[in-house]
This record gives sequence, C-alpha cells and structure tokens, in this order.
Amino acid sequence: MKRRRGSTLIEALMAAVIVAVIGGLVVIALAEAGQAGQRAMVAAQARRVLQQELEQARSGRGVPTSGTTGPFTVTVTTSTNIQPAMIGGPWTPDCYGGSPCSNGITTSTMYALTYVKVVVSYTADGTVVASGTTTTPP
Amino acid sequence: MERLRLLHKAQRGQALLGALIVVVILGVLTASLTTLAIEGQQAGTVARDQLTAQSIAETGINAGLATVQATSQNAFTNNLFTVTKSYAQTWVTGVGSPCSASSVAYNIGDMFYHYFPFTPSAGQPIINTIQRSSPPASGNWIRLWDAVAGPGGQTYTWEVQAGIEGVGSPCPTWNDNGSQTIMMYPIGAYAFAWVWGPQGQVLGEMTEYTPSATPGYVVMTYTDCPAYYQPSTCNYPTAVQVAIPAGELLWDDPNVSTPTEP
Repeated sequence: MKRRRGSTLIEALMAAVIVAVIGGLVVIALAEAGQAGQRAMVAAQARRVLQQELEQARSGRGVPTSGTTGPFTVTVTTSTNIQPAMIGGPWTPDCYGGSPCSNGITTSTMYALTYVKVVVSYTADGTVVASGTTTTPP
Repeated sequence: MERLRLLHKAQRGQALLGALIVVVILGVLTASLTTLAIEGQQAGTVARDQLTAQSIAETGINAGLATVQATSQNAFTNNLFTVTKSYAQTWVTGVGSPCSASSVAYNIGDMFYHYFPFTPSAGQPIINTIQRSSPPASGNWIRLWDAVAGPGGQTYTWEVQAGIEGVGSPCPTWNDNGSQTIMMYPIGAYAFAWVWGPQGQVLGEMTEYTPSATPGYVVMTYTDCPAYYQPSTCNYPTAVQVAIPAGELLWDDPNVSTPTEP
C-alpha cells in the first residue's frame, strides 16, 4: 500500500511536469501568434495609409503632405529625378512626302514628372512599416 | 489481491493514454499557432510587395503616357498639318457606314504609320488584351525602362510600353457645316507596365486603357473655300488637336504576357 502511494506521487509529479512544459509551449505559441497578429494589423493599417497617399499623388489630387495619421508618421519627399531610357529608336514617319515631317519624341514632360516618395513609420518607436514611390500624372 | 493489482495496472494504462492524447492535442495546437503566425507574416510580405510593384508600375505608366501626350501635341500635331483635305476624307469615308472595326483599324494605322514618330505596333511585342478593340487596332508604341530604389534600398526595374491606337467605337466623322469641315477620329491611349524585383522576379503588370465610353480624338479642321477660289491653303488644316483620353487601371491583366527584363 505504501509502495503504491509513492508510485502515484511520482506519476502525479511527472504529469505535472509534462503539463507545465506543454502548457508553457502553448502560452509561448499563443503569445507569438498574438504578436504576429498585432504586427500584421499594424502593417495592414500602414499599407492602407501608404496606398491612400500614393493614390492621391498618382491620380492628380496633389502631392500628399507629411504629418501624422493615427499611430503613424507619414514622411513625403519629392524630386524630379526620373530618368527612364528608351528601348529602340524613334520611328521616322514620311508624312507622304509632306514637309516638314518630324520624328521628334518629346520627353521633357516625362522628365518633369514629380517623383513622390512616401515613408510610413510607427510614431511610438520610429520603425518604418511601409514605404513606396510613384509619380504625379502627366 | 491479484484483482486489485490488475485494476491499478489498468488505471495506470488509462492515465498514460489520456496523457498521450493531451500531449498530441497540445502539440498540434502549438504547431497550428506557429504556422498561423508564419502564414500571416508571409501574407503581409506579399501584400507589401504588391503595393511596391503597383506604385512602381504607376511610375512607368505615367512616364509612358507623358511621352505619348507630349509627342502627340508636338511632332504628331505638326505632321498632321501636312495632310491634304482629300486624303483626310479617305480616312473617314473608307471605313464604311456604319464603320467596320477592321477598316477603322486599317485607316488609323495608316495615319499613325505616316505621321506618328513611335514604332508601329507590328514591330512591338504588344499583346492583344481584353481591353483593346477586336480585331486589334493598329497603333504606334514606345518602350521605356528604368531602375529605381524600392523598399530596403533594393533596386527594382520597370518597363512600360505605351502608345495610341484606334478604337472600334464610336465611328470617325467628317462634318461639313458650310464654312468649315471637321474630321474627328476617335483614339485610345494604352500603357502596359511590368515590374521586376531585386532578384529579377516579375512582381506584376499594370495596364492602363481607354474605356470605350470615353475615347480621345484627333480633330482636324479645314476651311471651306468657294469653288471659284481654291488656294493651296484650302487643302491643309487650319487647326489640329490631339486629345489623349484619361484611362483606367487594371492590375495583372491575364491576357498580357511578360517581356524579358530590360
């Protein structure tokens, strides 16, 4: 009877250890999932803010301004350094012999496009959570 | 005594089995939660990459359409001032009444081929898409590319193929009001932009197309002269306007294939 009582105690201790270990793992997993969910939510919010700002610039509703939106700080910088290259040369139309006939491709408006860079950071710790670039429309 | 021992043994076995079941369930739960967290992170990365690609593609489209618009206002417009009235009339009368899409495509193709300084579509790897008229109209196209800094300071590449084409509807018109004759030829502006990531992987494609309800126009105005007075100036336009229409955007048009990275 005494031996059985001792055996039961060891079994109970072992069970407690196993439950504690597994329970600990579950708690860690839950915490990680919770943090990941929170990060995903913050990132999704930041992407929405970024998308709105980029869409404003692209659609011709003006260059967005820097400032704060909810928990985020939005930083907008502009430049005109877009320098695309052309693949292939210009086509030379003949105007059916008409004159003057120009094969000039006008690129000045392309080079004058305003390049808009938007950086969204988390105001609490300054972490950059989303960034993107676009241009104002021609 | 023997029965009691057997009973205890059975109870111990049941407890072990129960513990094993709990361990397995908790293990599966832990693995599921971990997988969920990883998948959530991956989904976030995909969404971020798509946003990056879209904004860069928009840059390419804006650059392409800026060149289309500016070239239309300059070289194309200037060249159209050399079109005789009789020849312009054939572009309209030759399409039939009501007009046929293939005739419109042929005649606007003739206009672009002889007067627009972009490469005719026959020489371009442009793919027919659901947004373009059927049969595909002839148009002239330009290809541009650039490399830009994206998230993390990494380099992304874009290419745009942009141009103008005829549209199947409405039909072109030739309207003589007694003092002047005005030709209106509907056109569409199109641009296809692709974006490649830092490892050369294609991140996506964006199409900007002209909706059929809101085409642009090539408008040429000729002054009517009396039969007894026909100076050479009466044969050429007194005004030419090329209005490029606004477009709509479509992400990852399924009918557009991807060119090789520039």
